[in-house]
Amino acid sequence: MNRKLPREELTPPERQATWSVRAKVGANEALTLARPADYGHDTSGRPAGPARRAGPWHWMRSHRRQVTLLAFVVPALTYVILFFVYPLIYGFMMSVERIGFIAQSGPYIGLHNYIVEINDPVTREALTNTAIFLVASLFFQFTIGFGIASYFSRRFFLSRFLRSLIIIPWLFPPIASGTIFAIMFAGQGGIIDETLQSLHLISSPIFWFDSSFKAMFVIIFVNIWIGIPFNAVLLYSGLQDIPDELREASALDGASAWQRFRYITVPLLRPVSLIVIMLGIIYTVKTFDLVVVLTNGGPDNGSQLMSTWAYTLAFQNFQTGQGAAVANMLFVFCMIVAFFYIRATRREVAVA
Amino acid sequence: MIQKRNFAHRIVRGRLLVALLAASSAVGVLGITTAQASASSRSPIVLTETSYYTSVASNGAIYTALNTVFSNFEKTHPGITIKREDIVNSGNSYLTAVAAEAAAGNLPDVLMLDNPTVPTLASYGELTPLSTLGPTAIPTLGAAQQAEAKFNGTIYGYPLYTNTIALFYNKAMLAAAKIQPPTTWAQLLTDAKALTNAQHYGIAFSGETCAGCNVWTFIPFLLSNGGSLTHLTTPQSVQALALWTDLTKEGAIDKDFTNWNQGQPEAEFAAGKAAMMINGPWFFPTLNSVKGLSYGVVEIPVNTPGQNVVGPIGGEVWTIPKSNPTIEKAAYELLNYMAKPSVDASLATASGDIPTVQSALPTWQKTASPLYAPLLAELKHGFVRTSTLGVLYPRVETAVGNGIVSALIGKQTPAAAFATAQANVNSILEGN
Repeated sequence: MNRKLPREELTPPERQATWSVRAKVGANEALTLARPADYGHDTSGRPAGPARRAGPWHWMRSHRRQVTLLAFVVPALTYVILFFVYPLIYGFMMSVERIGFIAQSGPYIGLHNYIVEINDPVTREALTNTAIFLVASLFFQFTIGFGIASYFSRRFFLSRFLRSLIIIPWLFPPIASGTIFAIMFAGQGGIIDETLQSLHLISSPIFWFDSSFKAMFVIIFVNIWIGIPFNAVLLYSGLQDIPDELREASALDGASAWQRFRYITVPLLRPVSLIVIMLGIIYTVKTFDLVVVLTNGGPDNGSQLMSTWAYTLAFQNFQTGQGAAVANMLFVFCMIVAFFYIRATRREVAVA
Repeated sequence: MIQKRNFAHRIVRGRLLVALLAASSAVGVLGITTAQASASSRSPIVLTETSYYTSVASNGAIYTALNTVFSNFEKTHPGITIKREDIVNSGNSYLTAVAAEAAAGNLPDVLMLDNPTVPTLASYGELTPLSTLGPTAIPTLGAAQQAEAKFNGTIYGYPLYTNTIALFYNKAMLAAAKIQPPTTWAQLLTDAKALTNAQHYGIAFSGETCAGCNVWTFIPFLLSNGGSLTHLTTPQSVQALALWTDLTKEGAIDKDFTNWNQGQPEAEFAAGKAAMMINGPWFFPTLNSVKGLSYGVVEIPVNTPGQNVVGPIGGEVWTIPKSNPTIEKAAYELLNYMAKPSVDASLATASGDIPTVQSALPTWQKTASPLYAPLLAELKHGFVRTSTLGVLYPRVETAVGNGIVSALIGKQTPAAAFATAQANVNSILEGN
């Protein structure tokens, strides 16, 4: 068992194969890790080696590469299964069971929770609100972020300093930002209404939280404020990556500023924009803390989002199964976006 | 963290118990049952206690008062020690944590619950029916608390102190406007209007839909007028809601109040931005420390003179989650100790509430502020929120609360808003 084997005997021939780097010919250079042809644990065509020996220890020694690979994969796999797959499955199980206050498993009721929630007017309101919140937030975050990015793409006095200040809203915890905005939007003594009144733009306070429309406006406004830096910073770096020569050359060719923007900047910024928008969708659709602090989904569910509605169902009404169903609907939506995100980033990498 | 500690702790305690029992039987100590073993305080018993009193800073005197009560209990009951494992309550975090502990089978041995949540936990069979442990202290409590302690006829906990809400008024502001505190709805409306000016609103109270927020504040108006949480379309119910919408229409209340829980009205009142407010005695200590504020408390106005003010019954209930007979018996002894008139009076005083053990009232009243008088009067006709609704109360509360807000923001008329809310309540009552 413990007989020492010569080193060569232990070492499968593929060990000697080298990892080679092959450069593709053409405009796009991509690094491709060439795989040795006999990579794998197929030992046919080689003299019977120690792999044939019985016992796990010998197997491990003869399959050193596979064991190494496994050693790398297992921790990651364990982590993913423990912290992602298991909760996901558990969440799904909860959504097809009748579960209340105490989240132990209940009787299986199929898609009942989903059907109840789809037919619930509050869920529909939350769905509409989430859609409005998503589209409005993304549109303004992106356009304003792009404006700021273009503004800073030219160097001027203090531009670097100011650029670093732009990131601040992104650094604040949403709970803190939300609380401060709640105070600012207050009808009595809130700085926004007071300022508008002192400018004689309004005669009495607006009371931002007494209608669905205004409450939605407030949460969208604050979310845009929070999201601008993220968009601005990524788009700024995207703009920096566009070679100046391209713009200069097209200017020499007589392209107007609009044409340079339309035919140079926009197409070259496309990969970054896609990433920004898709990450934005995922960030925005799961916004929760901000809304809880500002409106708590009110008035009368008027600013309820899918995320806050799932929480309200599960942890305030203790209709845990239905809360899980709503959360899963949100999750499926995020998965679809994530799928397109991954596909888009892959394609962009391939194209770039 | 708490759960894990609790879990490990339970295992250790369980093994210790087995070892002790084995040892005692081996030595031949006969004639005592396991339950008696705890009573005779031979084996060391550790009782875990959970409440949402986590510090003096956040909960005031009740935190230290409990420490005193527990250490006095430990002195008179050698062999039993109490370990506090309290959980912060912010929003709904306490109840969520308790639900998680229950799901994991790690509830503490003595658990304090806000009264509307007792039926929920009891319905899952998590709480020990107290009469199985021996005679209870329930007959010594007030009539409302005797009802409050029960769910489906079984006693699950001791409501040891109680509170409700009343009308607070700023003496200086009312004197300046030459107004006496209102006693009827009509007076409330005109007074609140008259007390509204550039500096302050006439009144402030919670209008947000959350646990213990707008519905809790609305109950005195609804029930004193003969309305009901489950019969919202009756004229009596709609009238109560119409009073609230009139207050908003007249601009006598800050329109932001549909976004207010109990805290903001107190802040407005303390800052002199509201001449009156509806709130509870738990704010007496904070308000007393506000410089230059002189306030009085009266009963909440009624629609027509002669109607009785129905105060919603607040307060916490002490329960014993199921564990094993020895632990349950020790926890039962602790609860009975806490229900002693003198101990109960000290707990009520520290929490700013009213003792529920009737014989404790005279002692308590000697030192209690006269501000409690209207609260005591309202509690004579107190409303136990879970008495008929039981486990459904939290959901009915949300449905009614949404109806209230819908009318307050002018989305629906009071009658239409309550018609919608009634449909939702019906759906809940039908078991959907």
